[in-house]
Amino acid sequence: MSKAEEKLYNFDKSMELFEEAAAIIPGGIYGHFSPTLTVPGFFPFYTAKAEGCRYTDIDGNEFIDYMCGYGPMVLGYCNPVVDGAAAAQQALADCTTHPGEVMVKLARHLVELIPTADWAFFGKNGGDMTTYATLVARAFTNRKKIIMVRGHYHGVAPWCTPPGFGGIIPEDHMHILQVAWNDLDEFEKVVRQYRGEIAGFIAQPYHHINFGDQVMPAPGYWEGIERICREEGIVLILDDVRAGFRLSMKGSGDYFGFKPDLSCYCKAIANGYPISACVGRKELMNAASKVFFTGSYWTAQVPMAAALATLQELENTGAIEKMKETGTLLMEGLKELGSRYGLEITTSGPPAIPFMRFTEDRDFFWQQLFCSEVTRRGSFFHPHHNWFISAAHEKEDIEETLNHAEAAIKVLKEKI
Amino acid sequence: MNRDQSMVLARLHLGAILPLLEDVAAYDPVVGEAIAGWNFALQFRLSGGDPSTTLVFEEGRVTAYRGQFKGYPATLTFKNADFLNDVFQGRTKKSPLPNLAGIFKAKQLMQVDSVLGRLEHYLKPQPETLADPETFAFCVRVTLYAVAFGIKEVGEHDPEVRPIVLNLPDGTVEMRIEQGPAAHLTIKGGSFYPQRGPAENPNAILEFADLQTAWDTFQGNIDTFSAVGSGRIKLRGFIPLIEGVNPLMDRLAYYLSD
Repeated sequence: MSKAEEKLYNFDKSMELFEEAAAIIPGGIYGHFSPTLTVPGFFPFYTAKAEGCRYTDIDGNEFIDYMCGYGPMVLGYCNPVVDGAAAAQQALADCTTHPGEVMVKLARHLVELIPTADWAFFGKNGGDMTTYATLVARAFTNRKKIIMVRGHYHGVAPWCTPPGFGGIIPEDHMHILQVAWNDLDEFEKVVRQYRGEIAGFIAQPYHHINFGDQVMPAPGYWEGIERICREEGIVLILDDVRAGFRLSMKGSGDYFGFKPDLSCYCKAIANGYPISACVGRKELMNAASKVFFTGSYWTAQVPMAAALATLQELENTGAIEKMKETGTLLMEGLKELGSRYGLEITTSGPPAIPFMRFTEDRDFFWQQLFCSEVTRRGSFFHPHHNWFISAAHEKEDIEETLNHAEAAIKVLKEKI
Repeated sequence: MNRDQSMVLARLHLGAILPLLEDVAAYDPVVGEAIAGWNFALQFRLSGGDPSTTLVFEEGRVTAYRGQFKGYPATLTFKNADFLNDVFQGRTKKSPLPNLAGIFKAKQLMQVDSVLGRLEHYLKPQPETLADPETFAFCVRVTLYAVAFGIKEVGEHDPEVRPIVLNLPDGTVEMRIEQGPAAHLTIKGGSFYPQRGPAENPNAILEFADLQTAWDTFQGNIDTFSAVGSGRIKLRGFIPLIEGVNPLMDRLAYYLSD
């Protein structure tokens, strides 16, 4: 029996604290961090400390993290360069009566970095920026309707939250039209049907959904979308919140070869510091300035300093290439393991934002068992959501994880 | 409650609640005794014929059939949904008019109210009813079935939830209580097919740790997200199916809360 098989974590303190939380916090833990999205009893709920690509939960279990805080961590937890820049800014000023010089520096950096950016605007969360982008599109076009792709996640504002969640009413979606991913014909049909009424089209750069394979854009898809948007005066909005700065420093529009009018960033932009950004073409800048959109902490200077440092560090260290190589190592290793144990594994998504599932396991029963067993051995694998690789993951971490995965796959083989 | 909602509630009474008399008749000696000699079919229908449910009494057993029923059963016709709901909720002393076949069963029809009253005895039980463990287990079981049948009526007929239903993936959800009863619901193209008992090949499983957790969930006395986190409710398989059904359960609770 290998070392990985011997050590199985328990989550008693997580469960105990959760019980306490559930009495005073709706849902105990809410949103995408909710335990309902994993397999309670086999996954940690609360973090005690984190460094590099690892974190320790309140039970003292250490994990190699393949969620990276659901994306924000990209250079490793407690990265000294980023934290150093943040600390230096903190010593000067953070949330004050006026923005700081760092806001202009960060905007300048983004404008120089991203080919389709002539200006930048900042918020706190990805959802702030996707909503802001739809408002800019409406202000620019004087039209009401927004087309989105069925299943794409753009945050929690009512316009993009599916019906069925608490407080969402049918009127919230009155001007939202949905099309299938990669279906240019349907897009064209909807555009024809509502000609002159559509303000914007918003989409993620590729189809990264939960409970399913990640699907890359079909050849010609983005080219076709861009052409139709230009012909019809529709603002093309790229929601690059999840993929931004993990595939390319120039944004996923550049990576996939198209030119969005507006692009939204968050997650990897500041290695965990709270900031998001929307960048856009100069033609939309007047309209953008007319949208009233703000928040108490939106000009805070520490996250801006952290963002600047993160972007520079990503560029200086070749982080994008490293994440691609590390992610490839993990995915190839998992596929090989599956093949060795007679369980075919399908991998999908870019290596830096990968996902895997057992090809035969349509309903994720095996996946839930497998990811539980890997996680309680020390590598956090989310069963339903795409994973994230960081530049702090090293070859040795992947090897350790593959040991956890091998032990887990043996358990799976016994139980199915 | 607007007209659409009143109609959904009427469908719930006929499609989700009335069929539970099958279970109540098999369990409850009071009902068993009342229907012992009954051998006839009794149709409950809204004026116009939709919805309708027919109860066939035979050898002390009850079998429920939804929709059109062949033959010429004794029939109680309700003039509108509001009236049907008032009758089922005990808000009126007026009765629906029977057809000619019903008039020939006048003696039995006079007892129908008390038989139907036993449904409420188990679906809206008093604390003393729940104190008996066996009866409590039965209450949970029939409520589980009511939920499965009720989701169908709400999902197929409530315009408020149609946008949710249209986005629901096809598949079968099994709802079960650990070491207890189960029901399942197959969803196909926006239509629902509920059944008592476990599913052969469920795509998703919603499992309650025990009867009390199930009961508390059905009564709306539990934060279900917290219950999942603490392991009292387990979700397995293709969870989007359960996530899709969950708001329908909430909507069902809204209708049945009165």
